[in-house]
Amino acid sequence: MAKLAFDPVDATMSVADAATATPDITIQLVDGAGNDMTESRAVFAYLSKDADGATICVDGTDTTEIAILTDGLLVETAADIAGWLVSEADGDIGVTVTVASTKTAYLVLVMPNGRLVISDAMTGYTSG
Amino acid sequence: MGNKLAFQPMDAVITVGTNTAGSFPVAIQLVDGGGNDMQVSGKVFCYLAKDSAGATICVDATDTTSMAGGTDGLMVEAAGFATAVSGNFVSETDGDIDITAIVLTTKTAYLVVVLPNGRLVISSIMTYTA
Repeated sequence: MAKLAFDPVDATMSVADAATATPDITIQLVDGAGNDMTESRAVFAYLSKDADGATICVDGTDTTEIAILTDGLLVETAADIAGWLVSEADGDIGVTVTVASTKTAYLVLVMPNGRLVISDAMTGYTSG
Repeated sequence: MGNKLAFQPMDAVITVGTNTAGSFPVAIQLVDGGGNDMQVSGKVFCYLAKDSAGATICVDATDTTSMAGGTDGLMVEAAGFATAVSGNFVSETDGDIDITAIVLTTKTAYLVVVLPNGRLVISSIMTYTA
């Protein structure tokens, strides 16, 4: 029987190359006991314009892509904006986001209990 | 109602039936936190995977061609997006969901049920050769 202590209730996110057009985000899902997950789990994710996750990005205006970089699987439910992220068995997910010039985006993870875990800003990219 | 967690879908039993020309009937029984069959409708996200770990999604028209609701339950999906390989499904009040998945010849697929707590429950293999 699945126990709540072993459900993903938190995540750590590290944004690399945040000031470029294609920042990478490394995600580690963490269980209720504070440990890295030890089995694959899915969380819903979307790209937001703001640090509160209150406004979803517009594909083609703010961002143009979200894709798996290394670890995990993305099952998109809204093209290039939102979908289910499935971790590897160690709770790792790696994604890359394409941010439009002069725009800012945040990756929002919706944990199964409804809590939002939001990345650092991906901003500062200006073409030319 | 006391412990509401006990009445959430925390597990699923997936039974893959015999295929007809690659069309597989898949029966899902959602199970609550107390280990009993659900007694209210529940919602789960499902997708078709190429592998038994659910790590690679099937490609529509390459691996599979359809994923649709059957007799029991309801498929709720945003129109026009990934309808053939993924979707949200709502069970009947007894926790039953029927799905029909069509697998192309020589291909392999697995039905992955994503429970509300994020846990994956993965079916047995669906493979078909014409």
